[in-house]
Amino acid sequence: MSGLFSDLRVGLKSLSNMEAAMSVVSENIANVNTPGYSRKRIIFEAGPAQIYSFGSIGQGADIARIESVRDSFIENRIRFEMQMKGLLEGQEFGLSQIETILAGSAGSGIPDNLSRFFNSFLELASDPSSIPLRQSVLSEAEKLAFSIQDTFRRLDSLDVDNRHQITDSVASINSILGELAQLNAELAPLQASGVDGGGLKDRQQELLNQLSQEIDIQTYTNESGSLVITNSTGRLLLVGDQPRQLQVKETTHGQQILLQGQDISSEIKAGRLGGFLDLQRAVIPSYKDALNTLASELVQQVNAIHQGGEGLDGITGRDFFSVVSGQEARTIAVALSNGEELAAGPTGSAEGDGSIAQQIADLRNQSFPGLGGGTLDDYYSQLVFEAGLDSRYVKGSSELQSQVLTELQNQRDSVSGVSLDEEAVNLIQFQRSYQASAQFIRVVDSLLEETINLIR
Amino acid sequence: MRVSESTVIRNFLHSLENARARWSKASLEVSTGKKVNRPSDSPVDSARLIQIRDEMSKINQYYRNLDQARFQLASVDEALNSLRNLTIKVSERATYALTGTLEQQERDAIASELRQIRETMAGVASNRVNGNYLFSGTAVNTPPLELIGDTYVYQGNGEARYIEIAPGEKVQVNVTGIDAFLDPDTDLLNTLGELVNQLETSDIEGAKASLEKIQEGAEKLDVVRSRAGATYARLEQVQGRLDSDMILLTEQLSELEDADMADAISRLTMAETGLQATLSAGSRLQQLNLFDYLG
Repeated sequence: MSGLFSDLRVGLKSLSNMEAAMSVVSENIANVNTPGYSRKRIIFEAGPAQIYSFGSIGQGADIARIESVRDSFIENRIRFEMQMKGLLEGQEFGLSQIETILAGSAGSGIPDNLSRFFNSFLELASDPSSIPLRQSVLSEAEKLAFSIQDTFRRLDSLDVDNRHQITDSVASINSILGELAQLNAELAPLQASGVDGGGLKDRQQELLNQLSQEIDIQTYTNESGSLVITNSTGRLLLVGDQPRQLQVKETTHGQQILLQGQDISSEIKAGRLGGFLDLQRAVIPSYKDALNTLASELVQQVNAIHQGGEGLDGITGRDFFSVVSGQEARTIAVALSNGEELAAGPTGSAEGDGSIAQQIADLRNQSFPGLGGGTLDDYYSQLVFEAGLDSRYVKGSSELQSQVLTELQNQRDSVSGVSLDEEAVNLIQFQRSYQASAQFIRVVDSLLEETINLIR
Repeated sequence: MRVSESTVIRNFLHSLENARARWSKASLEVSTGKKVNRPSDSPVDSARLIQIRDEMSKINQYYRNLDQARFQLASVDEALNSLRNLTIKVSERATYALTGTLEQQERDAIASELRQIRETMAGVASNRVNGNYLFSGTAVNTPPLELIGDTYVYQGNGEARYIEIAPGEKVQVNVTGIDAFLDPDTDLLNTLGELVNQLETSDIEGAKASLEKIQEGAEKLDVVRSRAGATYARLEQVQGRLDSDMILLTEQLSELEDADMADAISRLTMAETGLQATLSAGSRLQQLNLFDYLG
């Protein structure tokens, strides 16, 4: 038969249970603003019961466990979407700069200079022997060459910035992997004894989210319960407390990402690093190539016509532009040193013949197979169009991606987030239970007193 | 759905970001007056804008070329007009000299007057505009005439000088010395030389023939002048065409590029209101929860 003393113990246990429950509430409230925090929940279960012939009476309540409330399905989805978001962010960084570089500032971009260059030849054709007009052609040509060089240089410096971004991204991947390895080490004994990792787990999730922003990863839990991370193709990045560090190898064709000496650059397809690598491998080179193509066509066409002409000094066969083959946009320059060397008319013609200048001016209306069948101006505006479209697409997708992520994070929080209202209700509930248990102890106490007084 | 504190804050931040982005875009549009500020604002329009600007810049150059052509043709016309007036004077003086009642002495005086007119004509024929000889063909740095003995010999060439005044449309802006005054048939300047000699040597019949030839040459000048005049008139037509092209392009440019201010400002006002509302909603965040109502 259960006695009053054992009732006293049941009451005491209830008091300490409620204290524990209120600590959980206080921890939840304290972490209301902690990113990645999963709210904790205390689970009570009825204590072991004593069986009597007429039935059973329990021995109060026990704390079964304190658990973090999380939904690992949503957390995985969040990580996946983070990788996509990182990719878009990485690309957006470069693409928004590329569109600005190509558009140039109003009145000084390549298209404006191209217009003025051809205009100057058109004007020279109207008065070919004029020294001021010849000088003006040279100065417009120099401005054009400079604007092509300058645009190319800006792409180059974007490339350099992007290199730094890649190095930084790899550094933060390595540091996150290191921290995750340490967490694995700390979580191992807890997992062995089946205790919920709580805050450590939250930290792990948060780090996995950060890692996902940088690179595409896959994760699973191995038989000993510890987290394993691989890259998208299954190469191990983290097992137990052993992180594998990524390395950046500088080559003449950009950077390679090495994992244990092997180049895995092409396997990185998402995360910010994926975006930066895409810029480095595909996007920036394609715009550089396009500029080279433009410069090369311009130089070839102008030179071919100019060579058929004769300068005021009677010398024929001169090039108008000079370039280094293969690096046209970087090296384009005016080959003539003064206006007299400019050939406005054909070989053997008088100085008032401007037909060569006119032919060069006419180049602006000609379509070239080398430029995809368009004029120089068409080609460049197509380039601006593509850059604008790419940037617009990435911006739009990035906004959409943020919405998806916000939605998912809200879903996660609807499971794992702290609600102050709910905690307030819990607090009242536990407070009242505490008060009831205290009252119960007082009642048992007075009963005991009665019993003791019986003997006196 | 269970709504946690972080959901409320995240939603607030998300709406704040959106509201601020809308506001920033609208205010950029109002402050620049342009709706396409970066290619990604409208890739198609950006590409089209480059082409329109090139077209406009080209037309502006054609305007300059038109001015140049006008100036050139006006200079030619002026020179031809002077030559024509001089030929009229030659005709008058020569006709007077050939009336039978004149003394040789008077004829000599007229001859020397005509000699001077001839020199004036040679001077006009050697006019330079912008440093270019008007009547030397494309040999613009070579004086058109050289006096060898008493004969003017043409030093220029017979090439036409062209100026492009509209895409693919070139006009001739010069008249060569051969066309104007050294045509082998009429040879204005040298015939005038012969006339002077004939008057001095009383070769009346020869002088009459020479005068006739000079009058033919003068008519030839008229023909050449009217040809240049026709070209001049064509310039005006082309100018009109360029003007209407330019108006179209300016309209297109403005349509593609310029913000509709009334619309942009109303959007800015809306974005501002939205931003204010979001901010004021934010200031009430976390003011509302059950703890505030617990005793």
